[in-house]
Amino acid sequence: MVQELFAPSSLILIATLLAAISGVPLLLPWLLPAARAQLLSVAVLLAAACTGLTGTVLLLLSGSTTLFELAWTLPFGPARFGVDPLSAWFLLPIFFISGCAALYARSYWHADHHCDTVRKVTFFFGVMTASMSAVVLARDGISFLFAWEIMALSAYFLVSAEDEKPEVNEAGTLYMITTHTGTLGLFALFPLLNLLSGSWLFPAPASIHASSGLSTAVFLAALFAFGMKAGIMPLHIWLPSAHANAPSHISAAMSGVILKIGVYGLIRTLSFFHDIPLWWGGSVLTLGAVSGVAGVAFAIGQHDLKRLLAYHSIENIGIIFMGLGVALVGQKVGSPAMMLLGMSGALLHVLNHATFKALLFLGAGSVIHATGSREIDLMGGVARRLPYTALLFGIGAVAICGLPPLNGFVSELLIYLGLFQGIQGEGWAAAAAALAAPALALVGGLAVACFVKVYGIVFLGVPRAGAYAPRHEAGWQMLLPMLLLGLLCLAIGLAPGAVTRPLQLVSLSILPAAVRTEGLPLKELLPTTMISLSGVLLLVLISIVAVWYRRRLAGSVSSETVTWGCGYQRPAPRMQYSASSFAEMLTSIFAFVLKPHCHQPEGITGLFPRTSRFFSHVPEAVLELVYTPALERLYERFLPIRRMQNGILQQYVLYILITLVVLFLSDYR
Amino acid sequence: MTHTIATQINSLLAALILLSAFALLAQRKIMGLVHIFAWQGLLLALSTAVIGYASGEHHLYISSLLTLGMKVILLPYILYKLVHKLKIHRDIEAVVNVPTTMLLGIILVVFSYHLTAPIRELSNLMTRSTLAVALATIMLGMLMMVTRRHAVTQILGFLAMENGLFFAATSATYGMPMVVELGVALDLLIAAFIFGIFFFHINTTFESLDVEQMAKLKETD
Repeated sequence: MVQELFAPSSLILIATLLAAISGVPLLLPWLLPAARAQLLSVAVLLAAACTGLTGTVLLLLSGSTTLFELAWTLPFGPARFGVDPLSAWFLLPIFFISGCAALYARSYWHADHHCDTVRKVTFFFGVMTASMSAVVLARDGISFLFAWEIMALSAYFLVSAEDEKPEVNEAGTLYMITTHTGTLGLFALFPLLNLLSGSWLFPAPASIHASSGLSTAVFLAALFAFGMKAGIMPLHIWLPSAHANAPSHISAAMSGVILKIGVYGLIRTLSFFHDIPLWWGGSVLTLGAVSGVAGVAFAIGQHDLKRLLAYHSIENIGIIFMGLGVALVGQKVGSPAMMLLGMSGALLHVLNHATFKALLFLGAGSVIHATGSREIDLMGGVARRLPYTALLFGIGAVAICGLPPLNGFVSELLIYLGLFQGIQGEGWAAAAAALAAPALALVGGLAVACFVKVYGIVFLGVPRAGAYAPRHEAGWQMLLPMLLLGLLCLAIGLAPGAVTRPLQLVSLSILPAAVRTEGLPLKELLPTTMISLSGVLLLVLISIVAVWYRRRLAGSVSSETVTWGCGYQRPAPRMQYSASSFAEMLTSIFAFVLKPHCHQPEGITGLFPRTSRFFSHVPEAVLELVYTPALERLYERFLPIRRMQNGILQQYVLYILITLVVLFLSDYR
Repeated sequence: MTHTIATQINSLLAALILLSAFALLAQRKIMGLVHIFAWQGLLLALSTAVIGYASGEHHLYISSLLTLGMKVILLPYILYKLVHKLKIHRDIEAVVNVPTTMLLGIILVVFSYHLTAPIRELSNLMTRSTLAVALATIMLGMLMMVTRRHAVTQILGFLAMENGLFFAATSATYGMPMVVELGVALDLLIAAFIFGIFFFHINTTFESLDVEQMAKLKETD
């Protein structure tokens, strides 16, 4: 009995339940003051995270699968939950990021400063963590839908935490509409799957042939529903505003984990099929490439720190989809190396993106906490006041750019290697891989440009606006989670050999049996020792240079001046590069997708030019130029039908009467 | 012997209930409508008691008493109070004029008889012939809701429908289980309180109880 309680799967279940009830102390205001209750619920959630992580790691090491069945009397049969390597892999970020974000919130969203919203935010954060875990554990369509909806709704309450602000309200509403549109896709998906397999339970891996029309419908429904949640490019419209307007630790959890639940859903659905046609892989690969490039292009033009990070989430989801596409294409062309590299690249990038994006959002939260604004153009010189935050944000920035020696490099390298394997093949698959590889390179390059901009404008230089000068370094509750995340980034980057075994285990559990019989270890495909060695070498080099530079500075006399003084006699902070001037060239190159709004200064002529102003803004072009006009047209088309709904009570009763009579007549034969 | 007489009495009561349903369609004064509704409830209670006596299903006596209490005394009293408080004694307008409504009602009755004909063939209960009347009462209640403008008449139409449902239950299966009937009675009571409260609010908001005023609530295009 005791042994059963400490089995990895039981630990995960206990962690899920603990997370679900973690917010309850805050719902009992008459028992505990808010600050004390918040401390208690943070402690409970941390305990849940530690328990869950222990269970998950144990499970990944053993590679076992456990199923639970809940025999209830609801329709659609019993509820089934289970833990297998794939679920365990996604549980890692769920528990890790949630734990970090909860601790961070203790200082960032302290009960004393946010007394109106702290109850709501803490309670729904626990519920969201538990429901995400439940989504990953669900093994039948109905439980999956239940967990999915609870997750979506709790996320809504978290996004709209400060719902007295109109922009927060708007973001919440947009999120609500899109998430329910996505759920509509799931309502189509599970009945179709039921038609194919004859049960609401998830079918066994690779048990359904992918060539039938029903399978195609399942794939399209899954791509729509899960793509909406993951924020893949044409379906990403909810993501920037929701991430920007949520509290930062919520953004970290949403971007780090909720998006990954969408990826999980897609991977899980795809694992049911065998003999996947080329166009499935091709479309996933294309969507990934489009999201990657367009996501980072949109990111470059942003002025809002969190909105910028949100667009980077779209980019990284694109990279994950590219890995997935490589694995699917590999399945068609019969290349085990492609399958293994693509799938493990996608899976590792799921974990990596979760860590570094959470790190970046938490770092952004500290900056916003210190400056009081999200506008990049109002910041500057943050590194001087917040040195630790600056260092950790820097680690996250290097990781997201996919540079060694951090973790982003490893997962992108896996996908690159997969693409190179594809290029060696022939036909359409090789062409697709050959086109995708430069796209991935472009994404990496643009990401570097974007983060040079962010880091340069926000952390370096001097404060641009006095009112928004950074005030104080973040507290330890905020720095510790960031440190943990940063260390994980570094650990995976320096010792990728440690994750290859679980990665291989997870990938093989969902890939077709052909890969398993091939006996191709991931270690042979990925030069882990080389990565570790070069990483260490790089770090040593950087430290040598840093030490040398310090020594040199210490010996010389230096005068202080404003950054980017450009030799002017009296340089002012306003002369510094701004976010838009830094990105101007790149946004103009991508103007055909970004459609930036640019207000040029006028009347600068003669000796005494008039006062003028310049501003530029990159809108959410897909939403504003595609969806909104299309929906407006749809609305106009449906106006004649809306006349039926005229507000007159008698007519509504008449509709009921007519329906009744028609039903009677149709039943009467 | 008693069986046939009971059937005859029940058929007579059914005919009177149908008559009262038509009277509801024809009556223009609100107080008149409340009185007719009370009479319909009384007929229903009597019919239930007769069926209970003839079939030996003694729980129907309780239903009958419940009907008497609720639909003959309590609900008409609440409506009476409401009409006095809101001062709405005057004639009320109908969307469709009374003769047309009556013709439509006749069509609905014929339709109900047509619809229940096969059930009459199958059933061997003594109340089988009154099922058509029950269905017709439901339909006429609905017709009343469609053709009248005043909020109080809407409620009366709704309550008449409920009477029809109750009658249908007794004629089709000698009544519903006691638990269900008690539940329905409680629901009705609560509904009465709720519409009472709503009428006050509607009356103060729109200064009228004409439900067409409520079309203003709809968002404009």
